[in-house]
Amino acid sequence: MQLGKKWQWPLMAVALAGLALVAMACGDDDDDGGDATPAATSEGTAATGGGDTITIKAGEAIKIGISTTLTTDNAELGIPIRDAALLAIKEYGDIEGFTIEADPQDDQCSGPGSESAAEKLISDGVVAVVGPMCSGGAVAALDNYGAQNVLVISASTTNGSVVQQGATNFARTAWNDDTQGAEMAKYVFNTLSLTKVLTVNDQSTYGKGLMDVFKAAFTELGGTVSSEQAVTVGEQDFSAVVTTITGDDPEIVVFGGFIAEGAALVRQLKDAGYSGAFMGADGIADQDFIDQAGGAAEGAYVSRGPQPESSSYEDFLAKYQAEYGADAGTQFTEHSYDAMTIVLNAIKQVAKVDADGNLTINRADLIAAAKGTTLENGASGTVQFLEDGDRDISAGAVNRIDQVTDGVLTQVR
Amino acid sequence: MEQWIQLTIDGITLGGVYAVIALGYTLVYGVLRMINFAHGELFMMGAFGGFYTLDAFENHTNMNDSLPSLTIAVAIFAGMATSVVLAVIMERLAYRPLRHAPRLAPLISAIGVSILLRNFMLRWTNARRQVFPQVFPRGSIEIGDINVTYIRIFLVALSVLFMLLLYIFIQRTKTGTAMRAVAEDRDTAALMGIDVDRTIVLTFVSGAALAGAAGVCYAMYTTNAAAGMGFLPGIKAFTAAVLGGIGSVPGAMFGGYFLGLSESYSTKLIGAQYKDVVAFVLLVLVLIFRPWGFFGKREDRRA
Repeated sequence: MQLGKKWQWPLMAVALAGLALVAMACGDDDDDGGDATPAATSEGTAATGGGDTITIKAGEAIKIGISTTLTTDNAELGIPIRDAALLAIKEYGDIEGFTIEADPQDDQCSGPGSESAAEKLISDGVVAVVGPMCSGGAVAALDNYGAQNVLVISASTTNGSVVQQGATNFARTAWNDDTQGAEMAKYVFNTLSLTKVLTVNDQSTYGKGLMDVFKAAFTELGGTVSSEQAVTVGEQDFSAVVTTITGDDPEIVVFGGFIAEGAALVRQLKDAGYSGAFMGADGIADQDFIDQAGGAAEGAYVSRGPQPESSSYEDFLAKYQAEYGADAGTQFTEHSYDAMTIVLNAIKQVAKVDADGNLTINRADLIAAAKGTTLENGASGTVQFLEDGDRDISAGAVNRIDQVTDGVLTQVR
Repeated sequence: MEQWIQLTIDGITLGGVYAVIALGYTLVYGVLRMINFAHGELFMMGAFGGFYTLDAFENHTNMNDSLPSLTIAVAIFAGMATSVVLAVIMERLAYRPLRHAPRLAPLISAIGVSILLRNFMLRWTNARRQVFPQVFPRGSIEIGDINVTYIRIFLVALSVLFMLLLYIFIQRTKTGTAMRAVAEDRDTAALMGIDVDRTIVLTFVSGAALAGAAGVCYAMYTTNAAAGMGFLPGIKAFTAAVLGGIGSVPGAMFGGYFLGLSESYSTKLIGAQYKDVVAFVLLVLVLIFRPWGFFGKREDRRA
C-alpha cells in the first residue's frame, strides 16, 4: 500500500515518538519506588498448585523462595541476606523425609524486579518466600504473592506502609522505620545536640518514608529541618543538591537511601567543602559505603536496627563466619536467618504426609502457624509478630548507632 | 547572589559536557542525516575504558599516587580509544548497510545498538556502579562563599579545549572540509573526488573521541561509572544539539551550554528533583515551535 505524501511525515513522527517512549521505558534501569503496576497474575496455573493447598510429590524437594537483590548497587546488602537464609536451610535438615531446596531470585530492590521475582517463584511452585529485600519492592509484589496466598516473610523491608497493605500472608522479622526514624531524631537532638538538620532522601519508599518519620519526630523534639532535598536512584551528579546544602549550611545532613547514592553524595559534599556531620541509616550500613566514599565517609553516623541481645546472635555470627569465611556484617543477615527458621518451623508444624507419600501443606494453615510463632532466642532476638505482620519489638529497644572511625563502622551506642 | 554564581558555574560545567557530546550528534547528522541514538553509549563506554585503565594503574602500580597527571591522561586516551573503536564498528555493521534504506531504518538500528551496549555493560558489571579510585586531586578554590572544585575547572577547561580543537579541525583541515562537503551534498562531494565512506568514518571517529573523553572526565567528576550513565546525558545532549540546530557545530556548542545553564538554574527555581524534566520540556517545545533550532536552517521537506 503506497501511502500518500500527506501521511508519511505524521506517521514517521508517531513512529519516532513511539520508539522514543519504548527506548525511555527500557532505559530506566534503576527503577525504584512503590510503583504498583502488578504483572498479570497467574491464575492457579502454577506448577504444583497455588491457592489452598500445595502438594509436593514423593521424591521431590520442598522449595522455598528467596527474593533478594543479587545484582545492582544494593547487591552488597542483598547477597548476605540470601546467604544467611541458605545457612538456615542447610542447618535444618529435612522435613518428613523431604529435602528443602532454596530458590533464590533477584528482585533488584525495585517494584518491577520484585514482581518478576514473585512471578518466577510462584511458577516454580515455592511453598513460602523469604523476601523481598526492599520496601518499594514489597509494596508492589505483595499483590502477586497474595493472589496465590503464598507465605511471605521479609527480613529487610522496614517501611511502615508495607504492613498497612492489608496483606494477610505477610510478616517481617525486620523492624519498623517508624521506630528507626524516631530513634535517629532522638540521637541527633539529644545525644549530638544538633538542632539544624537538612534531610536528603532518594525518593524510594524506604528512603522517603524514613525521612518523613525523622522530620516529624525531630520537629516534635524541638529541632528544625531547614530543608528536605531529594535525589534520584541511579543519579550520579549531585551538584544541585550539594550546592543547596553548602548554601544552607546545616549542622548535619541526614540521608535516607542506599549505598550508591549515599557514598556519591558524601564524597561530593566533602569535595565541595561541606564540614558538617552526616548521618545515614541501615541502607548504607555496610563497609561498601565507606569504600565507595573513598575516605569522605569518615565520621559519618549510621543508624542500624536494635542490637540483638541473645546469645544466639553470637552463635549465628560464628556459624556464618565458619560457613562463608566472611563477617555477617550487613544489617539483615540475622533477620533473614530467623525468617527462614520460622518458615521451616511452620512447614514442619502443618505439613502432612498423605497415603501416597506426598507432602501436603495447607497454605492458610501455614500462614497462621508462621504468624503465630514465637521464636525464642532467634539470631536477632525473640521474634513475635503483631496482627498486621509487623515485628513485635520489645518496648525500650534502642537502635544501634555506628560511626565511621578509621574507615570501619564502629558501634557508638 | 553567591548561589546564582555557584549555579552558573555548575551550569557551565555540565553545559560543557553536554556540548561536547552534542557535537557528536550534530556531526553525524550533518553527514548522514541520521541521529546516532547510540552516541550516549559511546560516552558511557569511554567512561568504562577510562575506569578500567585507572583501576589497572591502581591495582598494579602506584602511579596513581606518584604520577596522577600521567595516569589521568592515559585514562582519557583509553576512553577515547574505546569509543572510537566502537564507533567504527557501529558504523560499519549497523549504519553503512542501511545507507540507502528509508530514513527510519538506521534510526531503529541506532536504538538497537544503544540497547545492546547498555545491557551488555549491565550484565558485565552486574548492574553495579564501578567506583573510580580517587586520582584527581581533591580540593577546591574558594572565593567567598563560592566553591569550585579542581575537577570542575578541569572539566570546563577540557570541554573548551576539545571544542576549539574540533572547530579548527573542521574549518581548517582538508578532512574537515571534506566533512563539511559531504554534509552539504554527498553526491557532488563524491563527484569532486572525496572518499565519502572514509569521510563518514572519520566523522564518527571525531564525535566518538569527544564523547569518550567527556565520558572519562564526567565519570571522574561523579566518582563512578555505571552502565546506565550514558542514557540521560545522551538524550540531553541530543536535546542540546536540536536546540542549537541539528547539523550546526556552533549550534551544538550553544545548545549544550544553554541546556546546562537552564538545568542548573531550574534546580533553584523548581527544585532539584525536577532537573531532568527541564531537558525534556525544552526538547518538546523546540520540536513543536522551532524544529530547526537556533542556528539551523529551515529544511524544506524533500520528496
